[in-house]
Amino acid sequence: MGRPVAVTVGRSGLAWGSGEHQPQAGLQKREGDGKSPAGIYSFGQIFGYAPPAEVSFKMPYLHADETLECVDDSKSFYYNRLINSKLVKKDWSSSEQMRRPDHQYRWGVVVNHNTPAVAQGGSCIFLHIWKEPGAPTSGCTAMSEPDLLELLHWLDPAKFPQLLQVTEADYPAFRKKYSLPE
Amino acid sequence: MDKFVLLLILHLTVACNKQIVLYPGQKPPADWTSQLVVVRSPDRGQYAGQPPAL
Repeated sequence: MGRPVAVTVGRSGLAWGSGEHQPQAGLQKREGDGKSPAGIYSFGQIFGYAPPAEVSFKMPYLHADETLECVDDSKSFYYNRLINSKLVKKDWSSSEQMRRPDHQYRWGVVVNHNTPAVAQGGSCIFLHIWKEPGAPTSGCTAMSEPDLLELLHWLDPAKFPQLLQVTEADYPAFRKKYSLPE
Repeated sequence: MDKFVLLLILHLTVACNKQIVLYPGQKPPADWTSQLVVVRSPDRGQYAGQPPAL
């Protein structure tokens, strides 16, 4: 740890989301806007394609098999939730298959944005593997697989890990309040 | 170690020269967290946020 690592965010930049921070004035994160949520967030479960017996994370782990979906239909009771599609009655018209045909969700961690979910507030926000170096996301934050794995193994629920995601322009205010580095 | 925190700074740029910098040994914000991942985006053109009211 300590070396620079490349990451990317949403193709449309950032907008304030709903998390641990106080509500902020300005552009607000909305479903499908291609923006990553700005603000402070706790982390949820780590997920991945590997069976649970093959991983050793400190955070809780969720196996992304063919039944795991993230519901992005805000009319659904399960909006912004990871669910086993075989165990609940389907009431959504749109969802993300977490077992993707590509590598992007081979590893990831849930960012607890918009929980409990407010309709159209944005859903299914993760840190995950990028499609390719420098490629923007639909609202998640992405990086290389080795860098993500290093981060995932570092996260420790006993230390209440949090994500602070802001623009450089907004960072000084958070830095001052929380005594963060320059 | 209780008094210190590893701060993981994801220093983000829009171009490909993005970087994460880890800052060990920073004091944790009281009653908050001892692991902080920070994404700093220089993006202003697509973001119309105003200075946060903390």
